[in-house]
Amino acid sequence: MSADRPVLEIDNLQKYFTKKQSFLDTVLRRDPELVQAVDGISFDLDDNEVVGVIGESGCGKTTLLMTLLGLYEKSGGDVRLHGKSYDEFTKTEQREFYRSVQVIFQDPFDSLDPKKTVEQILRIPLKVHDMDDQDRRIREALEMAELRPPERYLDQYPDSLSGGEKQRVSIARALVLEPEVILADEPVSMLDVSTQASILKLLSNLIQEQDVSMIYISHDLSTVSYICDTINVMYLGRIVERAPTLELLQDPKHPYSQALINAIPVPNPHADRQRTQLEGSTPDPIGIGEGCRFRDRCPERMDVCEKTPAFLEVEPGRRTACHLHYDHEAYEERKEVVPSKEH
Amino acid sequence: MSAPLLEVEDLTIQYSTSEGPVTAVSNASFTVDRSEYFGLVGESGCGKSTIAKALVGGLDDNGYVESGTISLRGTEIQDFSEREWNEEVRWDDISLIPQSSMNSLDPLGRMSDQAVEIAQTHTDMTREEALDRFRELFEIVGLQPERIDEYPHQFSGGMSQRVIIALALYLDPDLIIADEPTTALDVIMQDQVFRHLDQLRDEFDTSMILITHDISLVFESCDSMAVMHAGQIAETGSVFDLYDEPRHPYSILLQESFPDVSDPERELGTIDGTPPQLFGDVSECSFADRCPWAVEECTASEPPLEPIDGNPDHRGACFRRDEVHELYERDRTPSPAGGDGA
Repeated sequence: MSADRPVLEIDNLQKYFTKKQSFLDTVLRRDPELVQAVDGISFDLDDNEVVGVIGESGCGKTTLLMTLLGLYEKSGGDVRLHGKSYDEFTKTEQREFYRSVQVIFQDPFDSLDPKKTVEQILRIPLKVHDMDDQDRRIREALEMAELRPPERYLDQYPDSLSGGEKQRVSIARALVLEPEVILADEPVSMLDVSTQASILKLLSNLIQEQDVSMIYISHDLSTVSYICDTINVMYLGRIVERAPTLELLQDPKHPYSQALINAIPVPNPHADRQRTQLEGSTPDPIGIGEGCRFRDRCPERMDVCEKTPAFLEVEPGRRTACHLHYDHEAYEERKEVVPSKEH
Repeated sequence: MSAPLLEVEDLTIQYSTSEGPVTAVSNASFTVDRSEYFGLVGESGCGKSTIAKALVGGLDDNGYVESGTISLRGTEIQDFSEREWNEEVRWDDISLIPQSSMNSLDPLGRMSDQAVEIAQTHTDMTREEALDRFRELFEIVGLQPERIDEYPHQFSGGMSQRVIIALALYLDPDLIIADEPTTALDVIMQDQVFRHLDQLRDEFDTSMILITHDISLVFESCDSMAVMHAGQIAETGSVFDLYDEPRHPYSILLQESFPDVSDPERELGTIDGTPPQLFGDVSECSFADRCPWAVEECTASEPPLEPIDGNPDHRGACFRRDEVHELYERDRTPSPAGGDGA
């Protein structure tokens, strides 16, 4: 296995749902409408890297997570763990996949069984994967999640823990199997601000100290700088911009990223932020054809936006899918002469 | 001098439980003037929503005002009967924008019918007048007036929140209480809603109490504010007072832990511990357990809200309010508790 191969490669991943048809639709033999929840997403996850996927509700970020977990069957594209495609997994590799990819859910109040003690909660995954030395592993995972000393927590039920402690138990549960990839779905959005920062610090330290990478899914751009190296901004099933976190926050290129960042309130009464000029809300990704998906709400809309923009490098390490940043016709012509592989 | 629009004085609210009375709000005092936007900030469970409910006479069945007063234009309203609340306060004087708009609309009634019912209960408007007024308000909050005949489920999340705002404004109340009005919305939608709330203040003389966990919303949209911690008001004053010169440890540390997208490299603070549950009479500062600068005095009695630097509008409930700023500066510089960012 080559050392510089990414841990996880997501390659043009698609997940379409078909809309339920009415009786009339069936009688008239209408084609079912497609919900293009995830529509051609590609990115790599390297060792010890945290990649953020940011977007508003309905952008497809949770569908992406479920598809990555293998809970939804993908409609197209490929996902590779250490270079091996999901499709080619043997039974053993499938099991191994469910050990090496773990998830931390948004709501610690909902994702822990209230009838089990912390020890039981952590032991279940170990039993499922038939791992040895369970007591030691449980203790170590609690230590890593900064639930110290572990003895104090082993016999507690989730109800007697605070929100922050519950989320630490979720983190310990993910760590106990020594995963290589953690998928975190809004892990701090249900917590009070005074505990948010400590969970973010914990996650960020774990990535640096343990051999683990993370995909961090969130709607909240104000906390991503404390954890993510790179951010993907998602809108209606597609990535519209990718950039290193600070560069994105300070100089967003895509009009949607700009609107998203500008709409975040600033905790300073002296700041003179302008309210958003955008109207309307994100539509459903149903039966949407060609073109930039943001065009109907975009303040910079042009005629060329009826054509789907290519996801191109605008600066070293930064990509965006927007006609403001390249000449579409020239690009199309060039592509015909020298067919290049877009990633 | 005429009485302020709303004056809350030494308000204590308790819930009776099997373990005895739980004190949700302890000796809270603040005032809201005409056309003032007032923000009430705190973490979950601090009692901010209990205050919202008390202000419209809608406490849960086991909740009651133990002591203190709520005065509307000088008239005490805390002991009003259900009928008095309905006839004299709700909708036409004080209206409420609840957190979850979806749950607060009747799913089986057209919006126009729900509005007419409110109008006919509280005013002598005719059906036509009531509908005209409702159309007008739909326009103000940025909805198409012809949609007033639709049912609640036909509006998206952001839109139904605007329908609720239109209803809250319907009878031209003097005071709107907005309890986490945008928490369920995405940021762009949230900003759209606040764009309309800004307009209201400019066009009408409406006052608002904005209840939220998000201190940035208050700093941006309100004139004055109060920070609450576990049932107690820690500090109150203008938004500039609390931003420029916070004097309660909790308001200092809360601001430190709040992320700012315009300053993404700033180190985030954390506050250890969790807010306590208060029972019966409170005789301590509820923040004492979590406070890095607590002294013996802090657990011996409840600190009163007292003026800071002689400014009667800027008040803090901390025995060490005159030295907290120096203590904070002193502890911050060498940063002994780690967090050197290495």
